Amino acid sequence: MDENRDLVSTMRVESFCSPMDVIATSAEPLADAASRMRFNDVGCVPVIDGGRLTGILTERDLARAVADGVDPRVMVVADYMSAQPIVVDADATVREATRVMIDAGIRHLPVLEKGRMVGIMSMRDILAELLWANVLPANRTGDE
Amino acid sequence: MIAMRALRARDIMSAPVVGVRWDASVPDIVSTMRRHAISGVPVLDEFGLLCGIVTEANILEKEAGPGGLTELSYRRDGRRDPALARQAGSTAEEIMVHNVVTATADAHVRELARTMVRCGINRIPILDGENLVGIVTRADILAMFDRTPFELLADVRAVLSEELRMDPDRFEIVVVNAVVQIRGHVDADEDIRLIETFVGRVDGVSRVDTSHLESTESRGALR
Repeated sequence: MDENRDLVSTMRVESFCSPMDVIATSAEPLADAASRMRFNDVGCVPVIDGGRLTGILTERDLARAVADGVDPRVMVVADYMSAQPIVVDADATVREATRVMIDAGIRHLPVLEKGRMVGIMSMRDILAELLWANVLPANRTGDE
Repeated sequence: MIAMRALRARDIMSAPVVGVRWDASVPDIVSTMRRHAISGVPVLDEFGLLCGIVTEANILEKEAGPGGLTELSYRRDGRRDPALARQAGSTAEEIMVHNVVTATADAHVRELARTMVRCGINRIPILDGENLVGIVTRADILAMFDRTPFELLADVRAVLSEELRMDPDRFEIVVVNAVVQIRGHVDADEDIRLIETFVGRVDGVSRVDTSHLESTESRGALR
């Protein structure tokens, strides 16, 4: 069990981050990006302008827009996205990426290789891997 | 007079709620979350009442502890850190967050969104008395962004009849891209202002166009 856990935690994030098929651009209306997220059932989209990652738009940001009561057809993605998002290098280990997410209180992490975005990793991906590797503690005595 | 045709928790909440028992193991919780594609679940006690919430972050926090995925930085003063306490557990009860922010089914969606932002939380269980009747997540809040023109039209008609006591059939109402255009005649200028105010408060309406709405009062003054 511990061997499996080491195996998962030392994996490079690149090997199991999800490719990003759904994206947004910073100048489009917030309503359009929100509809795309809902249609594709994703909790966050990277904001890509001219091939570069300029931000990330999450459900958290959209909740902020609802709380502010703004018109999502007038507001654009740039108004509510998190600019300069926290990212992780493709060479980082799962262990490092997990630490970053917990410390920052975020669930999604764009994965960059030589400055280019190659995917996104989420807490959900990590838990799926741990479940598959059978390293989650089933009970207190079986732990550690 | 509080008159708003605003979306409430009951309109968008997920029900029945996916929950886990207080004694569910971590793999069971993770499996449940995966099966339903959710990032957190309410924890129910032996009477089926809400006693906490477990999130992906809670579980990974535990995995981040000693012997887990990462080394956790301990507090230097040696005081008990709630995060560290949670990480020692391996059942729902032991890792869950106890202080859960809840709301009733009457709560306005915008108020729920404010609470989520203020408290930094992802989901709000909806209670009827002590009973868990639903849950509103950030994803549910997104429903605010794409209400169909039919839903908006129905709400606009309801506002006119129920709150302004005007027969909606007197008007021609067109909804395009969240702009509501109302054509027809009213008696007083005041009515136009009332329509603009009340219809403008309908969730999902960005603007009320009354440029084609005529009042008998104004017409009389012009003569």
